[in-house]
Amino acid sequence: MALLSVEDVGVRFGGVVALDGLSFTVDEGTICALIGPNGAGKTTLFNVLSRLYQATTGAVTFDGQNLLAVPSHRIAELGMARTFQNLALFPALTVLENVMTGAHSSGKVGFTRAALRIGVGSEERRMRAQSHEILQRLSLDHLADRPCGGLPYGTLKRIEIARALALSPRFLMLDEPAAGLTHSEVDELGAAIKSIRDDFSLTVLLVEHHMAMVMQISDHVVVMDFGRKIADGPPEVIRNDPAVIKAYLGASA
Amino acid sequence: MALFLSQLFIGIGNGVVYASVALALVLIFRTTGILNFAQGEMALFSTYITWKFTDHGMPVVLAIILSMAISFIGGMIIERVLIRPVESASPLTIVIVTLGMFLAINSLAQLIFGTGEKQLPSPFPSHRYHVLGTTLTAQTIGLVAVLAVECLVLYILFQRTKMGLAFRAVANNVESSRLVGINSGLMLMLGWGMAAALGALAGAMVVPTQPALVPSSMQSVLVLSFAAAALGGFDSPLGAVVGGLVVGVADAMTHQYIDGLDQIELVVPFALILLVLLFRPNGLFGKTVVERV
Amino acid sequence: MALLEIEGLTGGYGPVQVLHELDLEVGDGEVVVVLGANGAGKTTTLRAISGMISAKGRITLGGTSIVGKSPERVARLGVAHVPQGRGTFTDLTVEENLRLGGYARKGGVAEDVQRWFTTFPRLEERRTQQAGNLSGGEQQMLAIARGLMSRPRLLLLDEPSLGLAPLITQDLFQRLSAINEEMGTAMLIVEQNANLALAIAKRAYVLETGSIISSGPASEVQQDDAVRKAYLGY
Repeated sequence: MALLSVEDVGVRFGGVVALDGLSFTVDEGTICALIGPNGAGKTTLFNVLSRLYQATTGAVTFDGQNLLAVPSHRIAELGMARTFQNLALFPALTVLENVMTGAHSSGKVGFTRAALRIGVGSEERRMRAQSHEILQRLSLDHLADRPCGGLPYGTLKRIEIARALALSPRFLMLDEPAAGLTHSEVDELGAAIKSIRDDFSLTVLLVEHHMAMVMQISDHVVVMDFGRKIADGPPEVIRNDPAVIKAYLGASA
Repeated sequence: MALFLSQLFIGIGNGVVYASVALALVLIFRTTGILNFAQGEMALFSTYITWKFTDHGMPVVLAIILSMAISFIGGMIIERVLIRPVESASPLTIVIVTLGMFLAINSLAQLIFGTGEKQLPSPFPSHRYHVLGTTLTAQTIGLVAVLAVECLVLYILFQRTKMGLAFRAVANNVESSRLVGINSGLMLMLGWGMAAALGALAGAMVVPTQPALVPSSMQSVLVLSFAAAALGGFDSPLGAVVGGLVVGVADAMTHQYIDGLDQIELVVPFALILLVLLFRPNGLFGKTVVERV
Repeated sequence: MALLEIEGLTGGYGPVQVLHELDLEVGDGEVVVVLGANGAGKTTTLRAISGMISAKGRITLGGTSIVGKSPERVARLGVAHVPQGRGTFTDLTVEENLRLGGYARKGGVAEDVQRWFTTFPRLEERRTQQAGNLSGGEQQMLAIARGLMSRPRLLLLDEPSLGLAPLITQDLFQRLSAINEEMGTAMLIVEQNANLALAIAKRAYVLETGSIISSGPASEVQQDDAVRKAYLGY
């Protein structure tokens, strides 16, 4: 069953058409990769899905609900979490604290109880334990107490994934998670994303240029160019699609 | 109508001064991200220097030019000695440093020049012209002309010279400017120097419109200029000019037409700052950061 | 003597030491690639060369020591560093970015601006646009062209393919190779896209926890089993 369904979505900025009648669906429990040249509109779509941008036309349905009617601060409540292409972490906080900022949004203690410090201790212990577990899954636990500032780019990307996971999402959107990683690190990350998907019964939407990872972990690939979909299908079909090779993959595919 | 026009002219005359000081604030904010609370007192000190020269019989225009040159060097020294060491400190630290400078420079001015009233001659002739039933002074025309020249010079400097380009590069990305070989430290010093020189000019413009030069001469000017810069957007030179004129005219008009306000000083600028911060925190011409994704 | 010689380089950020006694050299007109895991110290090495962080050890450029010199001094001595994430002047126009690249050089820059517009026609189409509005690939081209505007003896490139689509990355490396052949600019490239980088490089180093663990001609490094497994993905 489709968890996310994007129908005929268009976005315009002034005279620029960033997305042009884009349609695709993501089935529950699958990993869907979104690929395409720089400027094709992949991140724009992410921003539509997380309600940072307004779609000019079209409809988006998430779990049967009209997503375009949900305000951006309620996206996390629906179970959607994302990472950003240009990292959005707090450099002065430690790795663990950064991950816990994610957990806070899903905390069960309301404002009043938090203000009165009722049940905060156990809640915080729970979040701390959960955050540690997530860090372990992404092989980041040895860095838990280091401040984020000054850590290498590829590590920061993984910390962002950890923070998104701390929201306990059903639907995870990853924007170029493999950027800045070596091949073996990419393999590890790919394996981690797959196992996290299985263990947390997640659905994943992924924007990525690292083809080895896309081909290895995704069930379904959507290819975009100039704001439109140019191909859609399983990875082995996409890799041999002449239109995709011409617009995106080039000789090395 | 005549009353309205005369208030308009007064407002524009004052607004020009606020615009000049706001330009200096913007200049420093753009390059260093610092709100220089000492800008007014730096201008005060410069104005005392101008006064000292005229007191020794120097023609006022020459005194202003000399004072601007001295202020330019003084501004560079302030950047190098006081600001550079805290450059990478927290914004709060920097605010405290500029507030400290505010008090220190004011005290220093009192110590050196005394607290008595000084008379600074106006650089403009005292002609008056009758326009549409009201008087327009040469002073007002002169002030507008000075601001226009100031804007033109700054525009040419920033948009048409190699140094201006380097300056804008430092304002945009310090690290990258160093990587292309720009001495960013020197650029920051020049920025403070120019801001100080603009302050000297603004001080020499505004003080002759006041009863006398006293140690508190620039304080309300600073508040009004902050309002102007906040209104226009702290990173926009155009905003500073428009903001200055709007604040000047709004101040003059409200005091004329709204009863009771003439007794309360500075209500207009504070109200404007509050409104801008509430509804348009980046100012009218300020840049809302839009990132391509 | 090599153009760039590094011996016993140690450095890092504050108390954290990233580089430990690192040795590396780049010959005149040579393209050299540095491979290494995330956090191995690749970016730190480039930052130490260009003077962005303080470092101890010996770094010479054409025989002149550049250790402890400010970034602007190093730039004036002929090193152009294209940082990770490109570091373009986003508020300035494309043309202004290029002119700034030639800032430290004596003489006019107009001719060089035109030259790089010819090489990268996309940039010419966008000459009056703010650099911040360019796509990722265009920004990378701009950053590289800006670096070349100084007519550097050594070009430092930090992950030029980061965030670029495969086709654009291939095009980028072809252009870099062509520029090297045509102008003889030496290049030190840090890159995760190791296959493409090794294809245009003469020599390669593998960096691990702040020291060089192996080095050699690019073709030999490409055949090394450990390297293939870790960096090449086959």
